[in-house]
Amino acid sequence: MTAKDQKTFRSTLAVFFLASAAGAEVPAAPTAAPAPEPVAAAAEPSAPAPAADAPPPAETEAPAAAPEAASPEAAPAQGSGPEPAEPTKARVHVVAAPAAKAPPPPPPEPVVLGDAAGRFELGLGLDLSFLGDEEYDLFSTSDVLPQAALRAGLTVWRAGRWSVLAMAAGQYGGTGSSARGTPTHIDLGRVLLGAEVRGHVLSGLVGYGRLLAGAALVASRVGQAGAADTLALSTGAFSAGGTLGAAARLYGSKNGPSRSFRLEAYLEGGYDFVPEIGLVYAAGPDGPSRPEPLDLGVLSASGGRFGLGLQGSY
Amino acid sequence: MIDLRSTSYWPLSLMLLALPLACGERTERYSAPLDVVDTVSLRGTVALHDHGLRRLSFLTSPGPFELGLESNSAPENVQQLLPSADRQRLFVLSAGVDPRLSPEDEGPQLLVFDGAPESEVADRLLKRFVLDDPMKNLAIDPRGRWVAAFGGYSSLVNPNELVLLDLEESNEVDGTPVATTIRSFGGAPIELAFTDELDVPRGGARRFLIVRTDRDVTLLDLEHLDRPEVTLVLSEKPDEVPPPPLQVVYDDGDPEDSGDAMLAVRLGASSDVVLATFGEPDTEGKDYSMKVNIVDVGGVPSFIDFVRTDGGRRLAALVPTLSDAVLVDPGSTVTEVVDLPAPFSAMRRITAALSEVPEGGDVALLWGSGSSIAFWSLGSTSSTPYRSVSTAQLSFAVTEVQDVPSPNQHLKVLRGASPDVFVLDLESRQSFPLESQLSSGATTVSPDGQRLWVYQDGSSRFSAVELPELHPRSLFVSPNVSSVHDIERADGGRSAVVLHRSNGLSATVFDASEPSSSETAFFPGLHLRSE
Repeated sequence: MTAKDQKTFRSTLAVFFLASAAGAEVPAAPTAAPAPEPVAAAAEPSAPAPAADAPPPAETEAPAAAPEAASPEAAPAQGSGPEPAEPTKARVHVVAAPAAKAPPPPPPEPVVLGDAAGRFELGLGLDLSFLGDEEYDLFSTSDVLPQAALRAGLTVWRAGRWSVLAMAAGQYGGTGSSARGTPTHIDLGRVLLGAEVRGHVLSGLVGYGRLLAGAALVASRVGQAGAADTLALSTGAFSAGGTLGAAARLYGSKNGPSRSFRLEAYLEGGYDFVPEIGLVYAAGPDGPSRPEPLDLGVLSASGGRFGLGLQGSY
Repeated sequence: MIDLRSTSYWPLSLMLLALPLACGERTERYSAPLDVVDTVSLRGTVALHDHGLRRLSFLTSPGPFELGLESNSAPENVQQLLPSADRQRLFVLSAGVDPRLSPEDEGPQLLVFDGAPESEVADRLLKRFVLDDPMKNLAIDPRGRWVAAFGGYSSLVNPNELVLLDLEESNEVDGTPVATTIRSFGGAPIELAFTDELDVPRGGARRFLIVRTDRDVTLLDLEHLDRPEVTLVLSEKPDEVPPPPLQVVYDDGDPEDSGDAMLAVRLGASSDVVLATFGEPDTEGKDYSMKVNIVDVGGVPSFIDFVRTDGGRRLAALVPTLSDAVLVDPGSTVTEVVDLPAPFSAMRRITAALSEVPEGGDVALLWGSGSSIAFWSLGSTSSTPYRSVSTAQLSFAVTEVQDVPSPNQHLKVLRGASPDVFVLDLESRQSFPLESQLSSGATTVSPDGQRLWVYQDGSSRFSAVELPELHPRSLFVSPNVSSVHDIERADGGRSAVVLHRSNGLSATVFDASEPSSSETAFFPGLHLRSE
């Protein structure tokens, strides 16, 4: 492939990626192209055979001699030997100089469902936890706790369009309010481990279910931040959660098992379980002398969750 | 491939749609404003009426340095929150929901709550009287049997209607109010007072309800509420508006004599004092008839009371404009003038507070606008009136005299505009100053008579003064003091509950018997607690 061909191929590939990111189908280039990469061995049998769709490799005839030597005057120089040979009629192939050909079009993207084992994924999003417990009103005028969600996963098993990821996830959110004139605040963080099962239902769309369990850390205060008489609590608890969701490809190859970068948007819902947390606050050492704890009941931080975000994988 | 261009906003749209569903109404427990919190000290609890939360709470002290909280919903639209004279009970008068549009809406009522350290009744509710119409004022029987509600609250009010509530009517929680309307001579009730038992010529001793209006005085026989009331019209001419009655006092007289019970009425801007005797009835079916006399005491009196002198029962009238006290013989209406060394305007009989009752007559404490007080020995008045008054000098004019309960009832706490406090020993007739560093101060005498608490709202320093030794203990507390309440503990001891209003509502509990800033317990966030 000449340098010019390579440049043309890269341009075409860039257009493909951009169009793919926008969700547009990219027609196969009409020009001849090199043979496509071999399809992964585990390609879905039902998937269209990329080899069948791909055009055959282009055949080019290599010139026997430099095309520039096709001049009659140059012929005697050929075939001279020790014996004077009978003059022969020079056999001249007139080969037209190859015209400048269009670069070979990129092969059409093979559509293969599934992920390759070893694919690593990183997701970042926003979770809205719905906490209907009355005690949560101490901290918020609504029943929503917004949380930042970060998760990382590794595909550990694949069978056809199904795959399983080992996953670690973290959530952190906080909210504050004023309860009868007293500032209040709560922070809730969770670190969870578990697994996610994925089903690649369509090209570019994957559904998943996830089960995670781990630890939750709750930190809260009643009173002005930094004030001597502010009451605080910090406690940990077991936490678990289940999630159902779907992710749609925004960018990346249709060929799921191929090792290339893929960007997806996800939308999910689930339920988080956190055991009831006793809201028992204690004063700091600089506060009033010999303070008794302030018991404001029990907070149930369990509840439904709704989340969205982006996840990238390679 | 999914064409996300047309659906790219779906997740955000779904999230926005979900938000209103998540915005449930915030519980009032945390959303109610914290504004006015009324406090009433009772025998074994501090009642808190949280206006913002419409909650009635009772702070108790089960043990040393312990604090309990019992909360109930307060009735709707509370009008009055008053303790009984012995602080055993709390009276809560409410007007109910206004307007009352459904049968479920709470109506006007009077609730009576138990003020004991540990109540044996549910929610501390002893009695409930459902009223037909909202009332505004309460008069409480110092002997604990009666409560009277008067003064309407509606768009149409019968100002002369009184609603009498008998607390001893039955053991049932729900009581039956008795409404009665007194005859009107153009006035409306201003003050109601329950008398002790007064012996009348027929039918035996009984108690009366004295109704003072702006122009007359009415007597209601509490033993016979079905009988018509008796009104003392204080004007001889029907079209003349009489001077308003300002003070009504009563005296049963000789216990052996059923015909000498008497009332006296002090009138505004008048030197006349009205004497009314419960005499023999002038018509059949009555137990008594009021015999009225009018006595001129020489000047406008500022205070009247019945006293015992070596000459018998007298009506004492203080006339500060003349610096005199006038003793009126109620039988003959003869007056005797006692010159006073200062224009004293207020008086209190202190005979019962003395360990040795003086022979021949009462002893009274006098005070007024000057910085002196006087002991008036009425047993020596008739013979030696000029010797009967002994004075003591203070550093301020007395505006309030606080009684000290037994066993130190011989002490009086004198307050004035100054933050200083004087403790007066009636036995030795000596006054002891307690100099305060506070800019202004409040004083609370413990119900057991053992301590005096001196504090200032908003100060971190306050004091406990042991009685009768007058040994002060300076105390410090943080946050600052709002009020101090000396209550009986469930274990029989006593706790001092210091309430704080900075950064919400909190309390510090001291051992009242041995108060020390180094031995306390702080209870934060009372305004956020549910129980």
